[in-house]
Amino acid sequence: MKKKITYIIASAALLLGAVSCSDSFFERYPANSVTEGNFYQSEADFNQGVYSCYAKLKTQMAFYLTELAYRSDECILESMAVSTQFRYDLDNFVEVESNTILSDVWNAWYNGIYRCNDVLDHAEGKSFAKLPQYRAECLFIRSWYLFMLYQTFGTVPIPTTVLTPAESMNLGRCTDQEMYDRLVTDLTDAIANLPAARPVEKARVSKIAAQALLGRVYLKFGKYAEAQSILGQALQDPNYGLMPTTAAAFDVNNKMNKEILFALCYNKSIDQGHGYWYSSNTAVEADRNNPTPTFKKIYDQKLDNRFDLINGYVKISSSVYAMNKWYDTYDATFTTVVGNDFPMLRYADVVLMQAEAIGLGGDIAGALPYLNQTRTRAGLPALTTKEVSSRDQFIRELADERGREFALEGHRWFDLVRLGLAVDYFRSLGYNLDEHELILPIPRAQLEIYNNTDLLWQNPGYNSNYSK
Amino acid sequence: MKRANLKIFAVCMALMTMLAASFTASAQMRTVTGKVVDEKGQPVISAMVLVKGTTNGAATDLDGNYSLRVDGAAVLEFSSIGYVTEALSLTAGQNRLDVVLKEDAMLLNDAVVIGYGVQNRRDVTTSITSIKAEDFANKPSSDFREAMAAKMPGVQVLSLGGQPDGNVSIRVRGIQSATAGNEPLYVIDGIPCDARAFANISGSEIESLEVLKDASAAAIYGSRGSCGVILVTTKRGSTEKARVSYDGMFSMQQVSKKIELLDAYEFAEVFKEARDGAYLYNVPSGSISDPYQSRPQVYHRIHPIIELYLNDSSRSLTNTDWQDAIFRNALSHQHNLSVSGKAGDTRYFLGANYLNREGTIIGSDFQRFGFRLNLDGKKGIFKYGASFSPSYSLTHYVASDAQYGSNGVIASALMAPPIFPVYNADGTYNWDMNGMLRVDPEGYGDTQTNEVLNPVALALETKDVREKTNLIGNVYGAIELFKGLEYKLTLGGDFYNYGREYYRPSWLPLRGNKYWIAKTSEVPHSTVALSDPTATVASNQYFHWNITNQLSYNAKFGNHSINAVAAYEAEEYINKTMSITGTGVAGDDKITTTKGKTIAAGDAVNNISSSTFASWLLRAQYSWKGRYMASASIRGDASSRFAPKSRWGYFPAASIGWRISDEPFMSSLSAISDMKLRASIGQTGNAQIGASEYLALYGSAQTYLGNGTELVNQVYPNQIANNELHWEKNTQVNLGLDLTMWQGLFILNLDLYNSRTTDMLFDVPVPQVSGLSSSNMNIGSMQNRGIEVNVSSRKQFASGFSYEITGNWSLNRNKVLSLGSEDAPIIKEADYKGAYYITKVGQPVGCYYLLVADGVFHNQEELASYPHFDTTQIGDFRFIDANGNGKLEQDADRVIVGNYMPDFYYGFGINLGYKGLDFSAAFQGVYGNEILNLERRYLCNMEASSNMMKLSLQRFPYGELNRATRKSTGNNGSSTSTFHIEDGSYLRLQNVSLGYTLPSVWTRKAHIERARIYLQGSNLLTLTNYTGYNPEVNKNSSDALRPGEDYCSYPLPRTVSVGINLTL
Repeated sequence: MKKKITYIIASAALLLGAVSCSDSFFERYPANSVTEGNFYQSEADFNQGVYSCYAKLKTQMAFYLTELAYRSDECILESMAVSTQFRYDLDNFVEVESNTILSDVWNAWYNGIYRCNDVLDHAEGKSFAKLPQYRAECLFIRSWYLFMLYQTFGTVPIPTTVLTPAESMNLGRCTDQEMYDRLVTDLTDAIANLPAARPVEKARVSKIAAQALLGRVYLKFGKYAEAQSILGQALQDPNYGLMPTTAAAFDVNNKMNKEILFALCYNKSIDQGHGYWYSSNTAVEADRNNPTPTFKKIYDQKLDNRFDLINGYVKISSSVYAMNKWYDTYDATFTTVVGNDFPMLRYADVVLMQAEAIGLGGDIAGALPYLNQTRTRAGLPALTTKEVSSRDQFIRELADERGREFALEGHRWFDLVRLGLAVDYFRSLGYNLDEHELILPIPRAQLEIYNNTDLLWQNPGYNSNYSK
Repeated sequence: MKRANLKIFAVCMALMTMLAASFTASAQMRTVTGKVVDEKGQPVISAMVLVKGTTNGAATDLDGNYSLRVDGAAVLEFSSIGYVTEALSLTAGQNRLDVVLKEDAMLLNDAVVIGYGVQNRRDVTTSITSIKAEDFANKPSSDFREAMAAKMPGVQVLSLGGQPDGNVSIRVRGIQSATAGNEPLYVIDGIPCDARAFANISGSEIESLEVLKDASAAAIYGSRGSCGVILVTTKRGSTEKARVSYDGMFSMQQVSKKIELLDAYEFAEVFKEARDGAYLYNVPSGSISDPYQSRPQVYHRIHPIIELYLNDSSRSLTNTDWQDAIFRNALSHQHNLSVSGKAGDTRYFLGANYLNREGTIIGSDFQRFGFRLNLDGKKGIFKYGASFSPSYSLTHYVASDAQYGSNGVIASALMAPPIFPVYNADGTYNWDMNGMLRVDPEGYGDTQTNEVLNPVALALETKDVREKTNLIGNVYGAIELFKGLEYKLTLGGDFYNYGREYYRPSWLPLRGNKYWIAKTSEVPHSTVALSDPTATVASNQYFHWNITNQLSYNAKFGNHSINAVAAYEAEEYINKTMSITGTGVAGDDKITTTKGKTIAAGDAVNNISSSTFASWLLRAQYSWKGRYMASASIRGDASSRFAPKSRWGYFPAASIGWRISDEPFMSSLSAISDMKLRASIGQTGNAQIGASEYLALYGSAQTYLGNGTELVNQVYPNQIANNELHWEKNTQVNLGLDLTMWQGLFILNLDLYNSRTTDMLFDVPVPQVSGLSSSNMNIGSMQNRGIEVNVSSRKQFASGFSYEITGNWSLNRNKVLSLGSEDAPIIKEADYKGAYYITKVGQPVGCYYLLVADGVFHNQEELASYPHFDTTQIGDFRFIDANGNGKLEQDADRVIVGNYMPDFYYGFGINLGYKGLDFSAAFQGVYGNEILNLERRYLCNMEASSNMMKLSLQRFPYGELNRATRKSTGNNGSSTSTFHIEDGSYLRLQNVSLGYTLPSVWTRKAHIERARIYLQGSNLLTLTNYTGYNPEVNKNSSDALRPGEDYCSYPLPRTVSVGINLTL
């Protein structure tokens, strides 16, 4: 009996040992996916990773171009349908935390940060010639997303490495100081490693873009001296400058001209274009309500040559009239019929940010030459300290000038908030805008997932089960 | 197909003739004669009579008589399938020996397949239920899975739809996993297979089917056992004489239910009322008599075709019943032929089957050809064998379950206004339902209705052919190393190939009013707005191999009996898919493949994936005198689906049994024939997740970065590495009692279980801060507790009358225990995004989470005194302000309003026999489940933009449903609420049959051993309050977080069949 059992055990052991499986038996990788094991092995791999960070920027095009314009006074949603309920809510300051426009940008921006972090994580310990530049680009793009999140939602969690889902559950909202420190550190790092001249792939950023973004960060946090310094460096850059007119900066035959520091690039001839932006389906001016008459009032409609950019149209067909600012010829080769680039940062922005830095730093006289650069370019008379003597007057002039210069470029709402004008201005237009609405509600789905208001809580003032 | 069928028949007949060995004795000596009868005195035909120790034998004739030449004294052995073998001695001068053979009731019931071996039913200590061949043989159905329904407590067989190729889902003991699969593991003749291979079996080839329910039984399948294991054993040859069986059945089917819809006249009334309702809402100062042309919005207006009738009710309207137009009386027939027996040391089973089934929806049908060869041989200490079963099926598919926007045939039939005909006078299809009500010729403009396509044209003109080829087989060799110890090597494979050809011709217009406008610009009613034709070709190739090394040891030492198994196996699954879709030029239907068509990037895709498993297992079973039983097992599994560090999982189990009835102190209780107590505990796993969930993965796409016309390839991360991902585990405790009293007059099987799933694999929403919106994680735990009762009684009376009554009842309670560190509830949307499910701690998985409708607002006073939406008017639904904050909020006032899990389910049946007559009836029922009837979203939204249910006649002010209005203003169609939740309880007469076995005195003249003819009805009656087609519906049956949705499904058929069973 005992002998038999021993025999059984011995033969079983023999059997199991004989047919052991090597690790390779378990290594089964999907054919249609790149895996971590076969990626990030060459410089070209890193480059493809960086491309994905840029590509993600394009997915929120509509937010910059459209939703922010509705949020500001540039556009108004005339008739609300079920499908445009959330846009209506943003336009009319009746935001709810379930607004899908907000969850969409939240999701897209954090996905973009994840892409940047994935490249940055894998770059650790690797040394390729171009890696410093790639790292700098990722730091710039991550900073862009973080700053957009900060402007839109206030303090938010800051992931600086790829996080497992479990780790992300423990990452709570940052403080203002943490956000400031992160952005300054990363952008300073980026500036040091980005090329000065524009790369061959024109959508890639160069040094001045990071300087401009850092300038804006400083302005947002009220660090005017720091802003003046970094913007001053940007203005020294010989590779970039103002075009003769704003219209020239938007010339589709001279895209990525010296005024464009950073843009989303499109090309209709290879099916990488888009449809007309802000076109009208009528030639009757009275039937056009966007941009709004209110917004058009900030223009000197006679003198300002920029007014025609948003008020003049080119007839494309009996039902399509293209707005001058976003005009391109119609190309029926693909379904994407036009190929304008969308500028994210322009040299004019650096100029006006410098005006803001100097002016809000207390030196209005020193600021006016910068403010006047875009004014005179547009055909407006230069302002002097006679017209602009107080800080309030300066802020109003600056806001209007930025509005005219960057109409429909996604700046207006954030400008009005940053310059402290939003609440009073929209109330004067008859809207019921409260201070708490200067930052938007955190998407409810995220609050539900965290289910922990110590880490992620709803911004004050919004109706929520997740208020702190 | 008829010709092919005849061919099969001919081949099988030839084989039968070849194999049917005749046994004749040819010694001189004396002739011994006798008669072999059964206990009822009926002759036993073809019984073997053998002189023991020799090959000298004979078979009985049709009267049970035999004659045999025998020399001197001998022992004669009488055997026949289904009877206990008798050995009787014959004295030297004896010339006659008559024998009564006893029916061997234990023969089939005795051996229970338990995975990697068989066990005597008496010794089983875990929870296993089984179905034997007779259950399938006597109640044939075109899908044998239907014959499993209501037979086994704890096993829910759900007919989700009436597709001719079957749509059945099987769940063992409820829902064990929230997001990994809940499909049980299917093992066919020892080879693990998926539900597809299981569905493909012909019921007539099944010898037995066992369901391993508790974790202790299923743990032998380790990482794949947590949702139960279904073991199928196919028939193998056993009789000395070749047996030929033929089963044939002809059936007629029709849909068991139609949804009651408005007729043309009722539709016209509601249409007008909805338009008036929308008008008065926008223009409160208006009147319903205001002319339509002057009303401000298009959806205030009424189409002239309806207006004409409303103004002059003597006019008649076309009144089409679109359901009648797409449903039909469908015919089906099936044939099974088999030859089995034993030739020398080789046993064989050869089967062929054919099924041809029309769908109850026009344009749908299914055909299947199947073959099976099972061989088993023996030589000395070696045993060997093979199973081989190829099959081929062809389905003409109709889009029965799709929504109207995706060309769904049923959805289109339910929504098409009855005022349009199926065909125009000239016999061409009518297309007016595709926009006429929306765009009228007199310039009222767009009146905003839902366009549908002619469902008859959709069903008949779209080509969608799906072909499946399946080859399952295995070979084995075994050697008996010494008595009781056997080594067995099995190699198995499952090859599956699926092909689909789809073509949507250009004469089927696209949906939408612009296609109707395009049509009217041509000659009205005779031509069609041509679409760009679409052709799709897709294929899927699957191969699975496995190899098992197994050592088994069986021994009996006095009162001790020991059974031990050790095995090591490895397997691999390889899956390749391919799909190409091309679009052609309008009007060009000359080529119906993708040739020459435009193939957009992303419309030509292929993929290859594979996964591997390696496992070892050990099991020991011990029994003392069959009174005390114990068993223990452990299995280790490794899979490529998990990261190296968590690759191996270990799944132990143990069980004990005590046969109380064998104890001496029980011997005085003669009423108790058998009584056994069982207790078991075990752990199983669940690996039903994707092949590479733990890896960091990257996608790729092209993008443009402003460099001339150069596109660049971007590679982006889309899955975060998760090295922590590991097996979901299920630990289950089972207590059981088996009791037989008065020799079967009362039989009770009782099981109680408590299972806990831990480390649940959830595709959980994760903070987007991680970059992704959801990820697979091992979080949370869930509990299933249940009771299963099986009661039966059977007796055979001397008069020839026999009865059997069976009943079973199962209760399962599911509860989520935890959902990760924050216990955040998981909220998911139904197929319609306005309907929600919640999975939350303390509740069953996947509960409906909706507003509660509480009648309608009858007057201004009610409206003023109760919270409501801004847009709510008198006649709209009143929703409950569930959180009581005085405000009605679309999200915050949602509450849990039920779920798809039944309170209990049950089945009962009766079998009666008297001489040659047999009668049986089987019922099944479910109680206390709720269904999310999203059909009501269109069919009862009171918008009348498409046809609606008769239920809409109960709208305010005629009844207690919301008023008619074209524009949903927050309170009807756009807010899914308890109005869309219905009780799904039902009791169904699953099967009723009446059979007659012809007296052998008649059949023997035709050399037929047994002939039975029968009349059978399936699904003849369903008692339910559910208003949809089928209360078993579950649109997303593979998604445990979103169960119970009805959003268009193929109705179940009601079937009447006649058939014949023949045995030669």
